[in-house]
Amino acid sequence: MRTAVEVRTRSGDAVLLARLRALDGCGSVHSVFRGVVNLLLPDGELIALAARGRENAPRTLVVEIAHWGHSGVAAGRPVEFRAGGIALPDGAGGLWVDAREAEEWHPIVPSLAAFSPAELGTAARALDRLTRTYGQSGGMLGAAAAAAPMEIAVCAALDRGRAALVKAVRTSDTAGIRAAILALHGLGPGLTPAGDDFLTGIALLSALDGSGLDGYARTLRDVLATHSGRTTLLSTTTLHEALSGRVRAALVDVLNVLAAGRGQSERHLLDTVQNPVRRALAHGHTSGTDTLSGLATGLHLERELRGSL
Amino acid sequence: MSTTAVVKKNTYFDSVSLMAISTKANGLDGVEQAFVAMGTEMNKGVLGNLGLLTPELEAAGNGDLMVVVDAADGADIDALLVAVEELLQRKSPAGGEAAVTHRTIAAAAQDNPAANLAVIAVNGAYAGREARKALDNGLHVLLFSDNVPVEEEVALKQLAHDKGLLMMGPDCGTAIINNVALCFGNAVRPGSVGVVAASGTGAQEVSVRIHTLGAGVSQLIGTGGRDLSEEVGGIMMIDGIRALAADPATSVIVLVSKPPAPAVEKKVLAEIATAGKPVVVYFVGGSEEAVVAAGGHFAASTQDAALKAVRLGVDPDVTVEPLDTARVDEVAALLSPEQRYVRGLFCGGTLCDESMYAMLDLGHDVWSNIQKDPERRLGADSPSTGHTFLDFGDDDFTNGRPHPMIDPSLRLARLVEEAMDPEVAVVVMDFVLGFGAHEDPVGVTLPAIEQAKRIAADAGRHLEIVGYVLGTDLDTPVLADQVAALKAAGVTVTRSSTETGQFARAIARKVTHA
Repeated sequence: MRTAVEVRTRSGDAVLLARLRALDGCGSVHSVFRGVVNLLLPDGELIALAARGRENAPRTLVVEIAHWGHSGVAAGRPVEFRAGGIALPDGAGGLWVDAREAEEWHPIVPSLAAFSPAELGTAARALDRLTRTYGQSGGMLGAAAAAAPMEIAVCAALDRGRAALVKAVRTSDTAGIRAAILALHGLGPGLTPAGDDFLTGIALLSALDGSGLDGYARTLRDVLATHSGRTTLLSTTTLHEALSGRVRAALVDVLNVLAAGRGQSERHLLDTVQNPVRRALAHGHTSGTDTLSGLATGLHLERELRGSL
Repeated sequence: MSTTAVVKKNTYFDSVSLMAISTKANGLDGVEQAFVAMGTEMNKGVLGNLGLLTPELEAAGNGDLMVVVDAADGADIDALLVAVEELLQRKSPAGGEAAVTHRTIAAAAQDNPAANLAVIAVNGAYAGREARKALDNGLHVLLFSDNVPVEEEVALKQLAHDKGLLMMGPDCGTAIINNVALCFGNAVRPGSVGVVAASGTGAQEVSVRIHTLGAGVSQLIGTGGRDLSEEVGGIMMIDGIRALAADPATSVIVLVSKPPAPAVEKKVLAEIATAGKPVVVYFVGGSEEAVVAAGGHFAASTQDAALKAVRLGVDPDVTVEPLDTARVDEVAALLSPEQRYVRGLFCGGTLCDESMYAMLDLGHDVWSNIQKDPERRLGADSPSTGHTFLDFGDDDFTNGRPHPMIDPSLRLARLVEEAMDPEVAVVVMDFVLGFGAHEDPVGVTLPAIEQAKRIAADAGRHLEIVGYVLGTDLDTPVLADQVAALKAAGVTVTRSSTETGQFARAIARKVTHA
């Protein structure tokens, strides 16, 4: 029997790294994809081991492995957390993921306080335009051409949910916000359903300093606490993190480039932000598009709420 | 119709795989519609609204995968379920999503019904056969491979023409289709200028100039370098012109090529009259009279081509800055009387051609590995003589090794070699950014630049190095950083391929007439 193969961790979420240093216990493999293995911590929380080249993200370690396709790691197997690392069974001697020397990643997001209403509007329009130009249909952008009736039905429900949410946030209608969040939460076929991705985009904005979306954030937090089984664990985790302003690196980049582009014309901003937006759009099938749709909607709402102060 | 559902407990697929499974399930014979989704309350609600919610689906949890198949009357439900199960197994992470590779183009086409273009880069001996298979499967083709016999190229292009498909290549290194750059290409904004090009870096340069002038590209169709030869007869360029003429998103068309065969040039120019849109023609060394007589807009350079296209289709007032003649004077003043020659070391064929033609214009004694005049043609092993312009991307230099945009080693060695020649006044170089190119073309050259300048300085000479960085502000690595690094190394940085040729010519004139 061979001894465990050691895999170095390149970088990781600083919060998770701190937690791993003190963690001692058993969890399990939640799910295995080519690029990512999801693990359950002893307390049932989800974390991810991403293959080399994947982006940094909350609760994620980026490890020195090309991909997990033939790693032998399988869902449901036990995992041991100890001494700043993770022992994974792989059908042979196991893998030892050493996280002690990992570079810490901190998702540092900008403040919205310095944005004028006009700048929020410009940012929202630029983001909206790029998302519509380069994004993927099948979620918040509507059904693809010649889509099956079920996709059409999902997209119509997403559209209704968005319209209801926008209307309720505009009028500070807490019951309406709650109903709209529930209409979107868990809606869509993917592992992070399109409705959740859209809610994530707005949740991220609501976490920034200077945001006027605190009513939305409060309600979403409450929905997550009281309706824990409405969506996948990955999606719930992503929403919780977004409410703390913690999202994957590509989305952090989009926010920071938008902030750096304050004062630019829309045309100039389109150029400035195009590359980070396209990287963010490349996530999942429609996930990137749906999250950026939420971000654009959130920026529009921020502008409107700012105008009403 | 009958609805059949399968619930896979605690089964997770990434969203791209889910979508692929869903698409394939919908394409199975006998399937009216199929839906693959996580078993969340909202997704079950949608199924309920469509009357498709079975008790089995109702019991699915949010970590379970629901597969719902609505089968046509008379369809074999059991066979469909087996087929769906196979789809799930093939995409299963345990089986390795990456393991789903396709052994043949036909299988890839069948597995990806939405795909409509194949990029082929295999040994030239097999490339034609693969391209034919792709065309037979209804796919447009970008054939990156070279060394495809010309008879095969003609047959492939004729087949594509008959099928209404594009046959880009062989030896096609650049295209931008629906805003996606294929092979070597730059990040340019979408826009209304359509380009058909028989030259890779020429097309890249024109697209980059269009972007820099504030406009964008609708489509950039590569034809392959031999398309405008007598044998091929411009089949792809003519089809490309027709495609862009029919494209409502294209307001103006630009044609780019190295010098075409005269008969083919005539044939291509005849196509302009029926395009129904302004057509700008930049054929290196081409005749203005012929283009104008055909109703086209003649361009004397890549920059001129981009400028005219943008003026015709987007912004009539756009301008470019003139050559910095003060810098030419400054450089000339630093040179000794013995230093009389320009040496061009290029990655891009058209960039090399453009600078070389700028020199020929003055009647200088110009040598090159891509010279049309056989008496002034150099081989890869020939030492430089007089004004020498080398295209390191030409077959002489790339035989058995990667393109210099990827592997710059030969060019770096030549730079150092040129620095030892006391007759060399200026070395001109290009640095190509973008998809497919070296990740840091300037950075990898800086030690050689430093060494070359030191060799000249130790011999009491000033060696001027002129660099042009082909790229946009959207490219990776960052254009501004590459330019700044060159300037910090004492390199004079030009702003376009055309200006690079102008600068070389201006220096040559100064030192020759001094």
